[in-house]
Amino acid sequence: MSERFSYPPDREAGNAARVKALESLLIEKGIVTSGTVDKILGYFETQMGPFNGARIVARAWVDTAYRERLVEDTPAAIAELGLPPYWYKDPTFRARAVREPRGLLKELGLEIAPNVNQDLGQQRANPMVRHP
Amino acid sequence: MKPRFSEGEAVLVRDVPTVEHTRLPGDLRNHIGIIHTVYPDTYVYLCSTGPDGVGPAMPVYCVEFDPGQLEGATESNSKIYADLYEAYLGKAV
Repeated sequence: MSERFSYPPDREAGNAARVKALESLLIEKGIVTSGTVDKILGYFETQMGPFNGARIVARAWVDTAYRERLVEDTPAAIAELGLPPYWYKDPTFRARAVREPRGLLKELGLEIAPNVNQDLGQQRANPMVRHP
Repeated sequence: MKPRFSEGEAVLVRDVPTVEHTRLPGDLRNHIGIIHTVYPDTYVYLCSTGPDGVGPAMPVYCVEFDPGQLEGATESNSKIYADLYEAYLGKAV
């Protein structure tokens, strides 16, 4: 049985080399920066992952009232801990906010009449530091 | 440092050679906008972005765009405003 799952001993090294080559190529073509890769890995290490669930469970262990709220209305109880939704940072969501804000807001339950002007602000220079 | 552009003036967003990092949205590059506000004073960015152009103190503008000119935008009665560093702007011909 185990031979069906056998793989060459250098498989991990091969994968690592392939990932490194891909990363270099993407950086060279200006699609990502080395900072981008580190940042995304950072999300997985510090902001996303099983420890968010662990935090919820630990709170429920030590706080009976919280446990009851968690059972009653799970999303609301999780929101109490201040865990951010991921989707609002999603590039597709952000792009749609610019391209079709009315459509997007409608999906979120807010309908803007076609005759209402909508002004979209992008604070792109942020974080900018005022210079005296 | 005196702002190069004034309110009401048409500007062309440059397609700067970004290497590591930029504060310029891709969908605004090569598009024409109108200077809506010239912010007072000048602003630095946390680090130099090299040939991309920001880092040292420079004027910042609020630039108005007609979404109809931008790719993929489909809705009417809509305006887009972006705060952009002067290095990202050129004269519209």
